[in-house]
Amino acid sequence: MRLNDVKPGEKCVIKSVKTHNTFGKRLCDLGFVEGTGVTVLAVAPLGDPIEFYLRGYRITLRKNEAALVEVVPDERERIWKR
Amino acid sequence: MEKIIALVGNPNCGKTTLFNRLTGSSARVGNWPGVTIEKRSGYYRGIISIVDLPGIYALSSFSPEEKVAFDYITAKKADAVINIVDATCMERSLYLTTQLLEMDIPVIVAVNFMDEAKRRGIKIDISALAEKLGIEVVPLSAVKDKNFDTLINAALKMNKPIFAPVRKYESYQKSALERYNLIEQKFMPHIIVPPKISVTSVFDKIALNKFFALPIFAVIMLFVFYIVFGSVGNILKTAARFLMSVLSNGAENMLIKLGLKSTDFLYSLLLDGVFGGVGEVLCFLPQILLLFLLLSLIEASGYMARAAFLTDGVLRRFSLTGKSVVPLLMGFGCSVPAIMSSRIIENPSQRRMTALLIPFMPCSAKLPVFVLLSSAVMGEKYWLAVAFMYLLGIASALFTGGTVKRTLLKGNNSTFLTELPDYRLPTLRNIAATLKEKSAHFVSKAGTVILLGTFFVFVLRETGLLNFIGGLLSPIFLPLGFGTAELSVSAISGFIAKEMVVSTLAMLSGDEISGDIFTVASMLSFLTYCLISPPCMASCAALIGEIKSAKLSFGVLIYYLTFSWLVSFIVYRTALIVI
Repeated sequence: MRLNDVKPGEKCVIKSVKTHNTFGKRLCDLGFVEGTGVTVLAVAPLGDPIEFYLRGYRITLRKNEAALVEVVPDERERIWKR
Repeated sequence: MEKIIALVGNPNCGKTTLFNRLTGSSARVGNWPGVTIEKRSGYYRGIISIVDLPGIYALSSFSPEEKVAFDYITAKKADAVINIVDATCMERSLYLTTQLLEMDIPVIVAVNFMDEAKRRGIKIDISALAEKLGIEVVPLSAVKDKNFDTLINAALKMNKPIFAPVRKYESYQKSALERYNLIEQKFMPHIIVPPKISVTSVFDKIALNKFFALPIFAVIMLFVFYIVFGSVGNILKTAARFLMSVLSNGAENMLIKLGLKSTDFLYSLLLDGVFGGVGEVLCFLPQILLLFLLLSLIEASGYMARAAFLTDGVLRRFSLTGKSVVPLLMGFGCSVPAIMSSRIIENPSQRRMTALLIPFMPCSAKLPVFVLLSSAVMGEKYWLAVAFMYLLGIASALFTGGTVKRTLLKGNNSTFLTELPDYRLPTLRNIAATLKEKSAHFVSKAGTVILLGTFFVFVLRETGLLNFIGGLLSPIFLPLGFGTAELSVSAISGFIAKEMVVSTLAMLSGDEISGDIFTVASMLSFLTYCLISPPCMASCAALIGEIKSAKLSFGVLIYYLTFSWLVSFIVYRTALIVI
């Protein structure tokens, strides 16, 4: 699953960043590293970009950029919901 | 030797606000990441040099303004670094802090926005954090604090930090993970963040709503337009007009008392040139300040970053990015800082593209031209013409962007990695500083460039050269509906400064600009020409500085000249048919 597949209001956990270029490095610097929980907050009117919440702050990424981040659904969240 | 202290931190953490407070400067601040694009320095109490740097997230650089900060820090020119961290997002802020600790320069941490963090229930154990980091940590409110001696003294007394460097791996991801793990384990236990934190404010629930977001953006823009050109703006303009006519009459009486006749050179220079020309421009000061006031409110509130977020999807189709909205909106004020602020865009081709499109924006210097001529011709309904100019400016920018995308710039590899800062109330101090700076700039421009330009045109008129030059130019403008010598010269004089169009026209046509020299069609065509071409000297210089290619600059200038002619031609011909 990729970060752009997560729906607004849902949470997920980062597995890895699928690019090693400068953009990927920037994502790492901003805290997009393995095990980090991310919440999807909002989507812009045209479906792009998307706003995320992680490590106590809010950041926006385009769809194709979010697609570079591999995530897994937040298990704790699912258990908690059940 | 004088001591140098550098201010380093993430974008939008309040470095420039602190810099202004420390040095008594009034450098531009705003509530969006990337306001500061250049290194600047000032003095604290006249002795300690303070250097303000653009914001960075890590000691690596991806955009030109980040490179400025990166190069300065790694060159170790500063005697000490004050690392400003945002109390509301400590985790990410400390990432840069740990990198700075490895740099072998004295560092202290200043935790800004402490009051905001407290309001959200975030508790930071300053002394425990200081102990773990091994350096001094000072709580700070860059806006409210009155005395910064503790901070500065702490920075000056600081020794080089002793910090075991974080283990580095071949893979950047792994190194970053290692660093964040260290932050989580070592520092975060001393920072209590409430688990249920409401991250989206009520404002954003509305302002970023799927259906309302774009209409709200449009309404805000229309509101700005209405205030500046409608209600408040009109009152201010009438008042300024009245004041200027009193001054002008007083000057006329004085000149007559001194025994000058209306045919004398000096008499006509002072009344036609200074009062008629420059005075006409000065009348617009209140209205222009109103525009800058509203723009600075948008900048300070944090809405600018939202506007970028909302328009990204649209602007990408025109070889721009959502981030282009910031420079483009600033272009409504003045092209020069707007062109420079295009540096917040990382992608070089989009950065250039944004800078090139800014001269199409109806800047505050074009405002007097629009208002004066359209009200002379159309009376009460002048705002229709002004609104048309604003739309035409935006449309020209988008058209150019869209065409270039389809021809020159194929592929789009830009990013939209930006923060949405918290909404903040603008401070009175900042607004006052902005207005003061803008008035000083406007008055000094009127007193230097415009005054000299007006003298120059006056001399041209007196010597008869004007008719000669105008005669040469007029065939170019004849198809656009304003082929007279006066109008041709006025249109060209906009190159010196856009306000010159007004002062030249006012001087050449006596004291009142009457609607007789224009029809509605030729007025619209004239305004279109002034809107698009040629950009004033100052913005040309800024543009050349930003795109750094003589060949491209030349090509762009040719484009402005031909494009503006074509658009004016189309506007004129269409208006002739429609009206």
